[in-house]
Amino acid sequence: MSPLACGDRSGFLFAHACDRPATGACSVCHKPICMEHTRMAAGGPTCITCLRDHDDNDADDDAADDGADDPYFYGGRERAAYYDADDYRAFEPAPDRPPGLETDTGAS
Amino acid sequence: MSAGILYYALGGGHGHVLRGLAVLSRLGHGTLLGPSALAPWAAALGVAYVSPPAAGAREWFAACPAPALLVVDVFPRGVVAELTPLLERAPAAWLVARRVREDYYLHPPVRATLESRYERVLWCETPPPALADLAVDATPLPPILLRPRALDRAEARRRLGVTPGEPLILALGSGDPERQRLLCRLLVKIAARRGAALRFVSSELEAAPPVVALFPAAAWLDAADVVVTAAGYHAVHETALAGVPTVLVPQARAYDDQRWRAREGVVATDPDALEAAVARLLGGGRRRPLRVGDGAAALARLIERRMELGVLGQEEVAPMA
Repeated sequence: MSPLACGDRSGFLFAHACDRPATGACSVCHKPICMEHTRMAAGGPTCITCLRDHDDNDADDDAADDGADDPYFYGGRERAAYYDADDYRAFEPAPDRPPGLETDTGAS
Repeated sequence: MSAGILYYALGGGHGHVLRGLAVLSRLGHGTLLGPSALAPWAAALGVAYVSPPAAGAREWFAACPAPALLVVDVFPRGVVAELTPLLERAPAAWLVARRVREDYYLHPPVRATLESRYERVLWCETPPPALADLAVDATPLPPILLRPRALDRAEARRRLGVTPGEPLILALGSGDPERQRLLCRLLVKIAARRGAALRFVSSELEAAPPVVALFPAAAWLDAADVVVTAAGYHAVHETALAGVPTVLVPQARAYDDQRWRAREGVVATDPDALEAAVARLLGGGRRRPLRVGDGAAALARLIERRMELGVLGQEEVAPMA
C-alpha cells in the first residue's frame, strides 16, 4: 500500500500539488500533511494553508510575527533582507567561556 | 567497573565518546568513562559505560579501581587535572590524540605529564610539526571512527520524509546550541531558495522539523546530496569516508584546530559563501570516497597485544606507520 500523500498545496510563490508522503495530519483542517508542510502551532501540527489563513484573518495578532524566518510566509509578512544579522551571527565564535584548560567542548 | 581497560572520554564534545565507542566495540571489553548524557549511545552498542557523579568527581576518581591500561582521549581538562589520581595508580596510560593546537601539548604542565605519565601517544590525525620532539613514544593511526553500517540511500531518505529526486541538505549541528539554531535558521532559507529539503541533525535542539535526532549520524550520510557541518573530527573524516559533498563551517575552539582540519575542504565563513557552496555542490555529484584503514580496529589490536605482552615491541607498532 502506498503511503498517503500530503494534501497541502502551499508553495513559496505558487500553489502546487505536493508529492511527499504524509507524516501527520493538520490539527485544523485534518488533511494529511508532510514534514515540510507542518508547523507547530498552539493547537498542534498545522498545515501552511491554515496558518496563512489564520494570518490573513488576524493580521494584528502579535503571533503573526512568529515564523518570520519561514520562507513559506515571506510574501505575506514583512519581507526579510536576503541575509540578516542573525545569519552572520551563525558564523561567529560562541560566547566566551572562562579561559583555561577546561574550555574544549563541542565538536571534536 | 572492571580493572581491565578504562577508556576516558569525559570531554564536553561528542567526539571523545564516539572514538571510545569505536575502539571498545571492536575490542569487545573494557569500560568507557564519559558524560552521563551520552550513556544511551553506549547502551545502543552494548559498551560498558560509567559517569562520575555531578558533585564529588574528585573523590570518585580517587576511589576508582586502577585499570590495567588507562586510555585517555585527549581533551584539556582530563590530561592534567581530574585524572591525576588515576594516572598515579594505573600501571600504564596511553593518550589518543587528535589535532589540537600545539601550544596545548607544549603547555609546561601538560608536556611534563605527557612525558612522565604516558607510555604512548596514538595520533589519529597528523600532529603539528612542533611536537616532533615530545619525549614520549608516538604511533600514527588511521582515523578512529565508529563506521556504522550505512543505511541504504533510498531507505534513509524515506525515513527522513524526503521524496525521491528531492535534493537533501543534511546539516550536522554541533557546539553552542544558539549557533546551531542560527545556522539551522539560515539553512531553512537557503534550502527554500534552492528547492531542497533540509534536515538538521542535533541532539541539543528540540526535535521538531527540520531538526532531527539521529545516532549515529554517520549511518545517514548517504541520504544527503550535500552535508553542512562544522569541521569537527568525526564530521570531516566521516563525510570524506562516505564521499558525500560537504560544506565545512569551521568553529573557533580553544584548542581543537578546525581550520587545519578543513584546509582541503569546501569552507564557508559567511552566509553568501555558504549558499554559493551549497548551490555548487548540489549540482556537482558525489566525490570519491576516501579509502583509509580502520583506526579503531588498529587501536583495539594494539591494546590486545599490550595486554598480552605487557609491552609493545617496535614490530607491533611499525605496521601502523
